[in-house]
Amino acid sequence: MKAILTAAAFVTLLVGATTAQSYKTLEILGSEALPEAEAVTGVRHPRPPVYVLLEDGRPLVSEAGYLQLAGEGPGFYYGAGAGARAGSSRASRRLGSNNWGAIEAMGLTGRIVERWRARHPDIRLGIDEISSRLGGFPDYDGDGISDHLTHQAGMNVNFLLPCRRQPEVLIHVGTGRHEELFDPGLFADLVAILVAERAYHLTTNAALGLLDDPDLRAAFAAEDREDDGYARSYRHANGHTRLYLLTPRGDHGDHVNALLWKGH
Amino acid sequence: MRSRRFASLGSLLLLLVACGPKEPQPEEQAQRARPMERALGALALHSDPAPAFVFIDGVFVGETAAEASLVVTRPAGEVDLRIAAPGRGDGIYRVEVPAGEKLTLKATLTLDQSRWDRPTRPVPIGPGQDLRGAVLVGSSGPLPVTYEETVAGPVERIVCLVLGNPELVVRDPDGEALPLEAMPEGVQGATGHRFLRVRLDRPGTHRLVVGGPGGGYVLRWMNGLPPLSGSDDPSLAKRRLAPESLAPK
Repeated sequence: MKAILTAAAFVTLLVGATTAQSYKTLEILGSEALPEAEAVTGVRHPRPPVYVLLEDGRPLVSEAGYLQLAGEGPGFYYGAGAGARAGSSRASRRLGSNNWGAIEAMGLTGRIVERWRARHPDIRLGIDEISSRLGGFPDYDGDGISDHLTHQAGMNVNFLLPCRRQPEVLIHVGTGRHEELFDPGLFADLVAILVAERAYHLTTNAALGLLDDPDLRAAFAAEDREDDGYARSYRHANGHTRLYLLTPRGDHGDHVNALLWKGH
Repeated sequence: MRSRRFASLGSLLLLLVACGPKEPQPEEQAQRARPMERALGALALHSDPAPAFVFIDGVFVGETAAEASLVVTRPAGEVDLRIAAPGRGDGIYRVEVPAGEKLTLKATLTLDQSRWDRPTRPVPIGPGQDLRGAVLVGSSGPLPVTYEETVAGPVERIVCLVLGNPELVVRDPDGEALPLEAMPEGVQGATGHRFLRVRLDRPGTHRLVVGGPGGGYVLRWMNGLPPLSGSDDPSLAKRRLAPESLAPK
């Protein structure tokens, strides 16, 4: 009891002086003797995170403050490192791993995976390129100009096209690769989850027919922007999410690129 | 009981150190201090109503779901606790963790954006440790927000504006605004980000002020650009700029 009161006084004193208004209170719910079983230094997470943890439960953090997506976990797998996908992307070949993300983006990825698992417990979600260990400016083709424009800040995450009939197969619409396995309804479901988690930007190929889904068609309105022959942009009714549908054949035909930033 | 036992053991070790024939080296001191450090406490953290990211002594330790607690077992004593939720300001606390006990805390996070307080003091910032790396910061709260870096001598820094379109001013130790030089068009076109170069010539604390009407922003404070293997001729810039990399206006 004494410990509780001591801690309470300490927290109350300091919290009152240092917190922002949005965190008015740090309420003490209680204090109890630590069971012997917990007497190890470490972190116990309320749910398994999607990022790599050290042995003691602390997250692995890069020098740039990024977290590394785990190779696999409940409801997901790292697509660029899996089976036929291994080394298939320029980014992963060049960098070894391109699965590091900013803390907020990785936290949102975890919540997206959780929602996906709840709806499709038998289909793991393929997560592909994110960023390199330090983020930055990869130049994959060696022409001196950085490539992979959106994967520099650890905030853009590629989600592969999910497949019910042959899980974890690489489908690439526009290139002929397993196109017959593409499941438009499942893909629309994934995009609906990304919108529900308030993804900021979504980019995929127009040939995937995302707006053929009646719910998505009703929610996204075309924006009045100059048509550059490359992409059409749409704004979601939530006022936050913007969708870009690319027209070149095969461009983003195997995934949706989600900028995971809640922003405002 | 256990903590008392560890404390006694620690006292004994300290006594032995005090009676020892030579000045202990730092490594030896650290080894001898370990038994004391095993006087453990734990923090159990809830956030209400939103999930939050938790930082202890400046290091990210994990997320707490709103309905479940993140348990951090650590040496007892004082910790700096930071709780952050996407799109909101940070809550910064100092908490005393009792030895041998689990202290359960609940941080109440309001969802009311308008009540976000901007930091009243400048936020320390430093450049990335690698040319490709950089410090990534951002906020969606009211502006201005001030960042500061103390330098010993002339250095160059680059501000890369990843998202948002705020007003940016860098001031030297005397408060004079320094010129921000826009990077070549090719660099900007290749990335979709705005790059601004600034020279910090005077030793002392320089301040980057992010101002304007408000809205979210994400920027990087960098110590350089990666060496270009080819030319920085703008004509080599990737002509096709992926639209999702455009900054929101």
